[in-house]
Amino acid sequence: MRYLLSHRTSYSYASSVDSAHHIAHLRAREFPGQKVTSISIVTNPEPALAVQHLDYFGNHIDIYRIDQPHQRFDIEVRAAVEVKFPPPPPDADTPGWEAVRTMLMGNGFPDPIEACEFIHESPLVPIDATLRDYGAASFTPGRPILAVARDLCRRIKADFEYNPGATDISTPLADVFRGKAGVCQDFAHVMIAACRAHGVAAAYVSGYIRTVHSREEMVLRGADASHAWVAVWCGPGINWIHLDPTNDLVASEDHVAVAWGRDFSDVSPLRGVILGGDAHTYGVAVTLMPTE
Amino acid sequence: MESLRGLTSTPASAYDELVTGQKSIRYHWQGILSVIRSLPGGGLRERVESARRQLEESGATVNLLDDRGAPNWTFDPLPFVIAPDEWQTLERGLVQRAWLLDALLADVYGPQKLLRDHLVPPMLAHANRHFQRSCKVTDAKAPPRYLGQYAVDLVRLGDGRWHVLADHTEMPSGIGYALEIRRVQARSLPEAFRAIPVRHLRPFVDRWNDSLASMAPAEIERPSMAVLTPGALSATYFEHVYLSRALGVPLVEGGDLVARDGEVSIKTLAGLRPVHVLLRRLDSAFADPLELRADSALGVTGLVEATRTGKIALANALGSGVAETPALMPFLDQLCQRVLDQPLQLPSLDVWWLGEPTAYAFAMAHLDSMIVRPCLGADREPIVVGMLDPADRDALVKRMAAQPGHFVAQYPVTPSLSPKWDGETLAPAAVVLRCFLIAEGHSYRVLPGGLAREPAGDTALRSLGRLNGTLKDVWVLAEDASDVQLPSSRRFHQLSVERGGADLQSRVADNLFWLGRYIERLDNDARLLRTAVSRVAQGVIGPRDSAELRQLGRLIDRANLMPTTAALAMPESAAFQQGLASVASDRRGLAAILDAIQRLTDTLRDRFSADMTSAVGPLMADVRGRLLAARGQLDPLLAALDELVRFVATLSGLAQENMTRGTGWQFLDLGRRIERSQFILGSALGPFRVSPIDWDASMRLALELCDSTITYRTRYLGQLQPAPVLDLVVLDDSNPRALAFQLHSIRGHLERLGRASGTRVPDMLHELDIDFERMVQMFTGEERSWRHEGLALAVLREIVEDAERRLDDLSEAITRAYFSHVPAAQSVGSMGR
Repeated sequence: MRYLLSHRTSYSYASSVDSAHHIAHLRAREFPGQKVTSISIVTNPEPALAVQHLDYFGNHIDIYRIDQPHQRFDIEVRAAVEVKFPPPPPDADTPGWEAVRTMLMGNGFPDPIEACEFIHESPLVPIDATLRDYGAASFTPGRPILAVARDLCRRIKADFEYNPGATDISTPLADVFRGKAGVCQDFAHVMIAACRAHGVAAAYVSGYIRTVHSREEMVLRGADASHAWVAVWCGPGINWIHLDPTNDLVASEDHVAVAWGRDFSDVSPLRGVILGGDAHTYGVAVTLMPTE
Repeated sequence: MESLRGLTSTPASAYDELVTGQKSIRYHWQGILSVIRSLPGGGLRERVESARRQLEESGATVNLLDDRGAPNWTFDPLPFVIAPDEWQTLERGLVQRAWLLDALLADVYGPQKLLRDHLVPPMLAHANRHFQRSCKVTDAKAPPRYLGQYAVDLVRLGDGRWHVLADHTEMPSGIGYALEIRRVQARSLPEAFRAIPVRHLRPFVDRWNDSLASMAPAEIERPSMAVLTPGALSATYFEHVYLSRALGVPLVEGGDLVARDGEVSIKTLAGLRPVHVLLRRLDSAFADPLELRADSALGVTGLVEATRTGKIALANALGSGVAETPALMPFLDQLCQRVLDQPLQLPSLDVWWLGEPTAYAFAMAHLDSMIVRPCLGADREPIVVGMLDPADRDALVKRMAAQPGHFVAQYPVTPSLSPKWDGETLAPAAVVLRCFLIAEGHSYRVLPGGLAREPAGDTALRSLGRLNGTLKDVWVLAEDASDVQLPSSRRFHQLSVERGGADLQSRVADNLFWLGRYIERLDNDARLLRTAVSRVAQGVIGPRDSAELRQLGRLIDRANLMPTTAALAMPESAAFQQGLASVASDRRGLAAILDAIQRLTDTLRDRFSADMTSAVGPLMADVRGRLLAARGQLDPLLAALDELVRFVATLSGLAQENMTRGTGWQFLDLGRRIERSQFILGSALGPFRVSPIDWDASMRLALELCDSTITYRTRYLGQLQPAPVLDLVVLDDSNPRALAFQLHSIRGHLERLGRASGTRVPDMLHELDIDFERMVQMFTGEERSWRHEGLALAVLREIVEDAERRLDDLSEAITRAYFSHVPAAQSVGSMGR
């Protein structure tokens, strides 16, 4: 599936901002099954400095510095992306989750090191007994890893209520779990915690999901928001499979990935440090338009 | 508990530093022992006391406090002595280890080949709290060096070999203490340094300067360097100040720096001044709110990006703390063979990293005789398993089973015994040695000395990375005398003669300005209160006193020194007198000003000479004590206020005699002069602004508050008249307490600051002279004509109010022009939830 993407973020400040630094994880990267054919980012006001780098996880980052006083900052990314995540193998063809765990422990020296990095705690995903216990019902002995992951997806979708008002930016995972409600980020973090608590590698993927199916509908629906899901390492040869616990789906053609990391904090789409400005509000508008 | 004996007693297996197996004194100890034996008079005891006092005065014991707020270390006058040949071996081992850890860091933040090749368990980086993913080198320049500085803790085991107890790679502290202890040691035992060829430390410090300079980008001809500190609250702030002085580079906080276009600069009075190398004493995690911890208020926004351009180097590089986990120790032998193609020369203590199943099984089998330490998180406190109660032991075992890779286990160690002075005589005590290294050229240089310490508490492991217990100097003996006098390689030609100091940091200028204001405010308030207290303390309040006290009550209320109801009560009332008697304990008044002065002098410690700092501390404590003791009683309060006024005088005298008249002093004095002007306008002339006016009280108080009563009496033989009184306190520019004198000084300072910094503040005061002349003129002439002249008073009130306004405007203009008056930084967007 080919998409045209536009993702616009606007900050409005109560008073003038003297200078600002922003770091963006907005430039979609390539993944197995995803090609980025063109991409560009425009900001207003114009930055005094704009640099691009690859981050630790191979994602693109853009760093901006704005020197001129401003009361509004807009940043928009436009991209053309082609996605077709390879279909996953049958569950039974994936190794048992215990075997995956053993590989990732590797008696202290696991392979591959790219995967074992994702079994540890991370800033927003502490590993605790509650989430291990929650996951235990899916991690039954000898179960193939992909079956486990699908089951977790299904249970999270069933057990948690999608409710944007239930959590905010600073709600800790334990509270999300207690309230059994949240948004896609929360669901992804719950799934990641359950996996890691069982020694299975799970990564946080930020991106978008198609919510409309035709151009006409697009005109009506307008803005959407960004999305997040989970990639689970399913053993050598199979590697990472993208699963979406918010929708109980395995990603195929409806998901467009931007970046991945250990949790949201590694791939936060846009954050910054500003001087001045007092209170601020921000708005996000995402349009993901299928072109075929 | 059998196996724990090594922790608490002195077992026979400990290596004896002083005495050989044949019970003879080792050769390298003979020199110091004979010096001590031949000390005259009070011997070592006398020397110890003076040395400890010096260390306290220099502030070396400040901040490094234990949980109860007491200094947590003490000085032992008996040095630790190392023979030349032994030092050479140690030196080689230390240099090799520095190399190795530097290479490891370059790999961890680079290709991670050592992790991939099973030489280092990947989780020692991945799950390590010091691992900063934003510092991975992906598409940018690698830092020239990860370890610009490095410290190692060593113990000598029973076999006579030194073993590494701990590596310090994030912010290897202690060297400032080592240098200070050497200074004090040399002063307290000068005869020893004449008799024994002890290697000097100074050449090392000179080389350090070169070492830092060499990390600067190649194209920079004269690199500029600075010490980056988290600030005066840091436990090792003493050392930060010490190093900045020893290296002759500025001490900066994150707020002093800006990162732009990959360049980092210091905000100074004259604008931005680039800096190329930072000796970092700020935790990596807090160094950049943009790419590291967003909640850090201590860092520099954009610092990580600046390091990517290679235009700024940090010593140590951000994230270097990864290499200090003890979990690396079991892997260093193999790593050394692989990376450096040579055997590891300096062994580590035996450590089992529990992420390996065999090590885990071993530790579980011997758990009760072992020490377990978390090795990757922030808390790395060793746990003596044998001392845990069963519930705690179970909890620990559970934690270990859940996350074995987060723990190491090791046996208690028995450090060697070295003589120490126990107050009466020499006694053996356990010793841990801390050595320091700096990068030099393509290798490392070891400080020929260090810190030896007898750890506090029961085991060397428990007090591992801390600077506590008993600290002592380390004497590395020279082969021969020629070894002692190393020529300094310091490049003197690099220094150009500089005066004026427009490179003063804006933050420092700001702090000095406010220090000046607070010192003066303290003086003013103390005088004001003294004037009132002295009238009440006499016992009977006459009508004249009563009238003056009513005026004073108003002024005291205006200065916010007493609750309003008490200040405005009748002077004869209990409310007024009790309120006055308890001003010393009012948190808003004098105490708050003293707090502000304390805070500012602490922050500015690096700007003042050691003599000044050591004089102010005790005086301040004394004044506070007296004020506290005086609460509720007038006579002691009066004495305490006298003391306060003398304290300010001493402070001014010290500043006057010890500070160069550079920009720093200009700001300090500018602050004082502005504050004093406001006091004259608001307090000394205050009673003139009240109507109906009480002429006698107004004139007497104006003279008394401006400390000009005696001058007036000498000049005019006591007859009070408005024109001469106002002339003396307003116009007489030879009177340092007159308004004209302040205005004259302020103008001079602004003029010099404008020239030095290139930034001028408009002269907002110049017409005031004429106004004041006119004002005083109004009161001359026949007594009759002015006494009933409401016009003269109206003019006075108008001019005084105008002057007050202009001074406020001036203070703001100075702030805008010179102080980095930037709004506070805030994070936007989401760091995450």
